[in-house]
Amino acid sequence: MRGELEATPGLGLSLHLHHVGILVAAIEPAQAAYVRTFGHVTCTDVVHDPVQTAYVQFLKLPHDAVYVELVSPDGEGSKLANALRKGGGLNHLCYATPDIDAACRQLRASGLFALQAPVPAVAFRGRRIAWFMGADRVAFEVVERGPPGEL
Amino acid sequence: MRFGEPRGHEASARGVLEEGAIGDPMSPPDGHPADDVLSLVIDTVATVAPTVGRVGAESPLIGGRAVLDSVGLVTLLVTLEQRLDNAVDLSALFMGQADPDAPENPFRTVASLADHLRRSLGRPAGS
Repeated sequence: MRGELEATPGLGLSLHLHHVGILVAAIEPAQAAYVRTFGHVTCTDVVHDPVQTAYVQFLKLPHDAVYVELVSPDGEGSKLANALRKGGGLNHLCYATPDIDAACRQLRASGLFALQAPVPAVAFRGRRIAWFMGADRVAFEVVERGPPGEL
Repeated sequence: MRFGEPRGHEASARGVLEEGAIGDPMSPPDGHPADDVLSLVIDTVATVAPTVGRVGAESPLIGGRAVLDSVGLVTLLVTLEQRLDNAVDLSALFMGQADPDAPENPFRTVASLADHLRRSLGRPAGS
């Protein structure tokens, strides 16, 4: 029922950590705080993703490869509204992969629970993302790797 | 330990539903009906959310009166998959639920989830 893949550690997924998601009540003050406190540079505009029901913005340290994604609910009906009511903060880890379909099959075979099958994401110019969660309650996002120089 | 498996996971996935493992009809566990699938769901709710208090067959799992929040529900489902040795795919079912309020939603209550598991496992009602 989960295909024929065995759960082999890291089986050819070529994953790399793309970003850490931080859930905040509002993007702008959080963005200013990260810039002021850690010296992050702002890499994107604030983008609305209607599928994720969220506003997002990406920041990065000048010489780092991993982004910080600030995520904010787009209203009371957002999927993230309940999590924010509980305090927000560290929200998820996102891994980039060259083959999201293979990565999803492998992560599922490894015991992660698939929350959302791959769908295009506005923040990644239509590259697909998928969502998983483990029994340890950590949420994982997987994104199709972009071309060099792109988010 | 498999990635994502909760620490202190006391129940063996393999054999958890073997005869007598849970819900021996002759000696039901405290407060649990003599139904091993239903008892498994109730026991798993208590494991993933130990502070929810008494959980029964009609305890709602979704909606405003749910005994678990959305993360708790997913934790319940992934833990049930593990306890059942991945013999059921609750993830596909979860992603396919277009209307969480639909009366046929198997995640509606503890009993409806147990019914779904029983059907998926090919077990007769009340087993």
